[in-house]
Amino acid sequence: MRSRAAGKLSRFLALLLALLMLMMTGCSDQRIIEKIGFIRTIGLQAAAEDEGEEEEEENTGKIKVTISIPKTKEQDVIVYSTVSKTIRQAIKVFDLQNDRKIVNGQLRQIVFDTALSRKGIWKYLDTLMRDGSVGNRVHVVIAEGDLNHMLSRNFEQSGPAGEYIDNLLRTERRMGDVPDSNLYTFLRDYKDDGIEPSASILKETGNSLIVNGIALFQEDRYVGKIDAEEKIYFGMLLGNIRAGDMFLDYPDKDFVSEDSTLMRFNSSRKLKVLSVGGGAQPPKEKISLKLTGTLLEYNGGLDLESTAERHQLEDEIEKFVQLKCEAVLATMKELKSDAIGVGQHVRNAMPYAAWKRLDWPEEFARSQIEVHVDVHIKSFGKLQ
Amino acid sequence: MDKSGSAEADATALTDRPSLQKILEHFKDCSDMTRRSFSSCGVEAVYFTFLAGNDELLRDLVLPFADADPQEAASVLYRPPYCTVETLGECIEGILNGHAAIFLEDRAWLADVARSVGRKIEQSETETVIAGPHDGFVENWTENLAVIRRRLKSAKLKTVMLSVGEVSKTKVVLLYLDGIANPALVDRMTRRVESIEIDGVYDANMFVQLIDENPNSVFPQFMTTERPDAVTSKLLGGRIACIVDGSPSVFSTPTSFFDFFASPDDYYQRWLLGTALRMLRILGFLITICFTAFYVAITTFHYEMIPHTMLLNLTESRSKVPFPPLIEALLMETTIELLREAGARLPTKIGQTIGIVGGIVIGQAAVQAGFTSNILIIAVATSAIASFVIPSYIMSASLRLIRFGLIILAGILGNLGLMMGIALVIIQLAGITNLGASYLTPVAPANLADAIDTFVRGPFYALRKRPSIAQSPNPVKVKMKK
Repeated sequence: MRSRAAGKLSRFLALLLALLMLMMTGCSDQRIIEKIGFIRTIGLQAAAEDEGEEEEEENTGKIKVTISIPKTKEQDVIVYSTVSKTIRQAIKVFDLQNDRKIVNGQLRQIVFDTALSRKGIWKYLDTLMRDGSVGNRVHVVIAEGDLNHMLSRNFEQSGPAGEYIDNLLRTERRMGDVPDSNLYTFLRDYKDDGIEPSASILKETGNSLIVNGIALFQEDRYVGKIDAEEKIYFGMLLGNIRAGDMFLDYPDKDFVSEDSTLMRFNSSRKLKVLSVGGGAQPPKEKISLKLTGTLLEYNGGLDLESTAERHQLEDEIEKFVQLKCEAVLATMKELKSDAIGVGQHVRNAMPYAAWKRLDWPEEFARSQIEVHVDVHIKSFGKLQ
Repeated sequence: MDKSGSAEADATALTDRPSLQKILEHFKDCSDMTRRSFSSCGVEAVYFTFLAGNDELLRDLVLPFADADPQEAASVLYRPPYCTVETLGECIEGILNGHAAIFLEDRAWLADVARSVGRKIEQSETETVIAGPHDGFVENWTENLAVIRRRLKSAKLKTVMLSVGEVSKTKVVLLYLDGIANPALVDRMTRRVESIEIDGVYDANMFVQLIDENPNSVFPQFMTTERPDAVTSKLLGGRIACIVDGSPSVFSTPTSFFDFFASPDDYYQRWLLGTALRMLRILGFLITICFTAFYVAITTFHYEMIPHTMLLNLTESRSKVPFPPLIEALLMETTIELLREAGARLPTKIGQTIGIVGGIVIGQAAVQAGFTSNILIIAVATSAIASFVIPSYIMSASLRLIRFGLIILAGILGNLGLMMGIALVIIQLAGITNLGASYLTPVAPANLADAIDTFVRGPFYALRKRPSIAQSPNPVKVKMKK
C-alpha cells in the first residue's frame, strides 16, 4: 500500500514538474505582435567615405544599412539608417532606438545600391538565409539612384516604398517577363553550375518607381544590365512566358510594317547543345523560341485578313525578335554573365570532370548561340 | 453491494405466496395507495392511486366486481386481462409498475390499470432536421419501443428487458436484429448492463457513463440520439440499441468517434450534398478546436505567418488591448461559454434577450473598449458557430472543453504546443474502445468501405456493407446493382 501511495505521489510530482516546465518555457521566446517592429525593407549601400562621425578610413568596407518598419497605420513607416559592418550589427543599433523589438520575419525585400552590388552581395544574403524567420520569397532588388531617398518616400501608388516595391514586382512577375528574383532563386542560381543569378533593377522617377531593367551578375557581383525595353526578350530566353505583351517597333529599312503589339502571348524555349566545343572550337548552342499570341495593334502595309500577308508579318516578327534576342545574348556574352542557364545544358552534355575543368564564363563569352524563332498569330482582334 | 438487514429480510420473503396482509405490510406508510374492497364478492384490490387511470379502473375493477357474486368474480379472474401471480416479489413489482393487485380468497392476480403518462411524440429539440421524419423519442419507454417496432416490422427485432437501479428499478430494453447483430456483442452488453449496481438511473446519457470503458475520457463513447430513424439505421447496421425508461435518448453501440458527426439528414439529401455536409462538419470540428488556439499561437509567437496587410490591421487592433493574447482569448472564450450556458438555462423568451445583449456587448463594445481585438472576436465567434455544426450536443460540448486546453498550450508553446495538444487528443481518441471496438474506426483500423460512409456519404449503390465496427455476421446490406 505504501509503495502504491509513493508511486502516486511521484506520479503527481512528475506531472507537476512537466506542467511547470511547460509553463516556463516559451515565455522568453514570445513575440507578441503589438510588441514587435517588423522590418519590411532592408536597404544596403556602400558607406560613403565622408559619412559618419568616425574617421574616414573607418568607413571603408562598411555598409550603410537602412531599414523601414511599417507603423500600424498603413501609410506610415519608420526609417532608420546607420553605418555598420553587418546587417545584424545595424539592427542592434536600431533596437536601441526603437520602442518595439525589431524582427526579421516579415521582410519583403532587400535592396542594394549599385555601388555595393558591384562589390558582391552574397555575404549579406547569407546572413538572411541563415535566419529561419526570413522567408524564401524576399525580393532581391538593385536600386539605381539614391537608395535612402527612395526608401523614405511615400508614393502615390501604394504608399511607402516597401509596399509599392512588393506590389510592383509581383505584378510585373505575373506578366511573366520579369524573372522572379528572390532569395530562393538567387541562392539557387548562385550555387548552381552553369547559370548566374539575375535581379530586377528599380529606379526612382518623378512620381513612381520604374522597373529599369534586369541586373546581370558574375557570381554575386553586379556587372551590367539588360535595358527595360529588352527585358521581355531576356524573359523569353530564360524560360517560358505565359501571358506577356510585346511592343514591336520595326526599324524602317528591312521591314514593311511600322509597329505592332503582340498581346497575351505565350512563349516556350528549347535549348539544344550542338557542340560542347573544346580547344579552339567554341561551344555551339541553338535556342528555339515558339511564340503564340494575339495581334492587337498594327500599323503598316500588310493586310492582316490575307493569310499570306499574315504569314509575312509573322516572318517579320520572327526576324525582329531574333535580332533583339541576339542583341540581348551579345550583351550577356560581353559581360560574361550566363543568366539564362546555357551552361546547365552544356554541363549536362559533357562529363562532369570535363565541366569542372572548363572556365564557363569565358566559354560562354565565345560560344556561338543561334536563335530560331517561330511566331504564330492566333487572332488579330475583333475589327476586320 | 452493502445491504441492510431489513432488505435481506425482504429478499427472503419475496418468494412467499402473495397475500393482502403482506402487501399492506410491504407498502406501509405509502398513503397514495388505495385499497378497495368489493363486499358482494369478497374481492380486494390494491393499487397506487395516481398510477392508475380512471377508465382502466372502471373497465377492469369496478364494472366486473361491483355487483358480482364470488363465483362470477372467480370466473372473471381466470380470463384475460387478469393474470395470476405466484410470488410476493412479482406482485410488488406489478403494483410498482401501476398494476392493481387483486385478491380473492388465498389467490392473487394482477390487472394492468396503469394510465399512459408523459408527453406525446413530438419533434426532438436537440436534433432537428430539415428533410426527413420529424418524430422524436419521448420519456415513456413503451412509446419508444413502439416507434421502433413500427419502423422495423420484423420478428428478427429482438428485445432483452432488463432493469437497473436498486431503488428506481428503471426499465432498460436492449434491441437488436437477430442475424444481423453480433450475438457475442449482445451477450457482452447484457452482462454489462446486469452488472450495474446503483440506486437509480435517470437518463440514457447518465446510463451510458455507467457502462463506459473509459470513464475518465472527455469524449462521449456511446452515441445517444432522440431520433427513431437514426436508431433504426443503427439497428440495421448491426448495432445494438438500448432504451432507458424515463429518457428521450436512445443509445446505440458499438460507436465510433465519427458517428457523432453524421446526421440522418445526410442520407435524405442527394449523396453529393450529403458528402459536402459531412466534409463541412469535419471542417467545423477542426475549426472549433483549433481556430482560437491558432490565433493565440500566431499572435504570440509566429508573426511571420500572418499576411502582411492583415498584420498591420491586427497589430493596430491588438495595440489597444492590455492583455497578452492568451489571457485575451481565454476571457472571450469564457464569455461566450457563459452566454451559451445562460441561453441554455433560460426560458426561450429571455434567452433571445441574452442573445441580443451578448451580441452587442461582445460584438462591438468589447472591441471599442479595448478589451479584445476584433479579429479575436471573429475567431471566437467562428469557433463557437462551428461547434454547433456538430449534430451531437454531447460531443460538441466535449470539443468546446478541449478547445480551452489547446488555447492554453498554444499560448505557452505556440504552434508546437498546438501540435502537441492535437497529438494528445489523437492519442486519447486512439485509446478509447467501445464494446471492444476501436473508437477511431475507420481510420484506425483503416477500412475503405467504412470510410466512404464516414468522411463522405457515398451513393447508396456504393454503401454495400454494414459498418465493420458492428462485426455483423451478415455484412451485405445493398444487393442492388448500380
